[in-house]
Amino acid sequence: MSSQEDFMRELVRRFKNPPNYGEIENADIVSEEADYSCGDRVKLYFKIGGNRILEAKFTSEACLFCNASTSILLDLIKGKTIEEALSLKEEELLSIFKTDSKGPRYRCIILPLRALRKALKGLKLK
Amino acid sequence: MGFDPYVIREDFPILKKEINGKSLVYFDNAATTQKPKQVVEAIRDYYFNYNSNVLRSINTLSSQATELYIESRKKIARFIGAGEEEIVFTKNATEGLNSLTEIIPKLLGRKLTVLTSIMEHHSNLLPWRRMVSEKGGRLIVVGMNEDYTVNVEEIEKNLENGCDVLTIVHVSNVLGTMNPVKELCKLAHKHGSLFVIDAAQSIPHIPFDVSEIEPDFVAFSGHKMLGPTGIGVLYVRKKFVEKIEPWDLGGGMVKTVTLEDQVYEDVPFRFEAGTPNVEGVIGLATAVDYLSRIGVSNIAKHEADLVKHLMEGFDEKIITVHGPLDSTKHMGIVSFNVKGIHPHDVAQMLDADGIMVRSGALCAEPLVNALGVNAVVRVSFYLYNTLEEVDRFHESLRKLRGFI
Repeated sequence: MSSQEDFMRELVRRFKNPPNYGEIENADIVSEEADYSCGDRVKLYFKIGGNRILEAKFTSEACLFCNASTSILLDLIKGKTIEEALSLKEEELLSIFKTDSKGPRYRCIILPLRALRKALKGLKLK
Repeated sequence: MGFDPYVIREDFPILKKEINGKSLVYFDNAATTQKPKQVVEAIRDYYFNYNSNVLRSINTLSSQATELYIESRKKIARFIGAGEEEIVFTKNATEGLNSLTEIIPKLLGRKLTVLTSIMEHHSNLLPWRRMVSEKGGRLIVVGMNEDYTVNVEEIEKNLENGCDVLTIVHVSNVLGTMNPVKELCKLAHKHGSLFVIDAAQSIPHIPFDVSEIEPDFVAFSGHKMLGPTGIGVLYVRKKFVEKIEPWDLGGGMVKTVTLEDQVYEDVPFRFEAGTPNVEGVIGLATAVDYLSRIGVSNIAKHEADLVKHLMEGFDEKIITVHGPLDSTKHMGIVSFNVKGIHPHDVAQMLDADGIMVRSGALCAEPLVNALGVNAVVRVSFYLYNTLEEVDRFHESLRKLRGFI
């Protein structure tokens, strides 16, 4: 079995039913982002208190990598301030998947980060 | 000599490459095809022995390059049964289709009613939609039949109401199904409409002759038929060649210029402003030579064998094929979904075994959505693929059962 296959199996085990999946009723912010070239689509829901992300969830029509990445991302930003969440780098997510911006799954992994930035940047401006 | 993919493979060095420790299986030919040594060698030979600007300078090298260029145009035109003055070089099918949204409104001198279908690649939908929003007119999108071809009755009904252009994909890049272009062309002409074919997925794979179909415009790409990237063709039917206005202006497309006026070059050169893609034209002509030597109908037959083997090996409990279940209706292209596994993840698992496929919305999102999904896995064949490779594909796919 190849290491790539092992990694996929591990992803399936942990993210077939990804943690943080679902909607937040009365969410303060909802942000949707899609990658039309690949067909992935994610929707993020946030509860904000003061300057902090109190709760975050997502729904999606997406591949395993995108779902896993979104699930992990939301774990990383829960409890963080808006500024801290916005300062999260692409590389932090990519390294979890043992890849970089040249990898074939780059767009899938980065999609939730694009959705997150879209949601929070607007908020920062207010 | 009979058709032998193993002999053909010797001309394609990339097929000896290893990916992830496995020998490469290239099943993404609808995206782009691999290039034989002959094509690469012809381009090298041009640059090392003939490179010069064509159709301009009075020097021996330029004359030799020009001769190669003109000969190449003849070969490419002949390949689709066209006259050499009927083909205009573009960068790809997309550019050809975009150009038509400039050419046809000027040719007809009115706002256009354009009829297209849900089966189109984005390149045969977005340019027309922009044209209508900028210049006025109407875009009508017809649906698909149960057999995954365009709804001819719906087309005829719209044509009867008056349309200026019917523009239809010949072979769907998602489904591999073939639309009845000859019948559609007759219908369009009967009702006074122009007929445009997006032939990007047909000309490389099945015999195609404009003198038989009689369309008004046809667009296709060189890189999907063993040629280099950056070269494509827009076929313009002879009766319109002299009537259409050049859409790009500049060097190489005029006979004389004063500060007040200009006289355009003869056709088709007036449509090719600027220094042309000479290496692309020579590369494509060499690709056309290669395909003619093998015989496009032999390639079509071979691809039919591959599709049959592919579809027979599918486990229908976990695979949903999009398109007809009759393998003979798929022109070398089969899209499918694996139950419970996203297409990208299927593609990645195949990739781990050295098998290259495409996954996603395939630049035909309305069609993919109409199939009830937002992404698919696509296998697309060409002359160098083998039944053994299809076996390897199935073997790799079987491993996915553990993921469901």
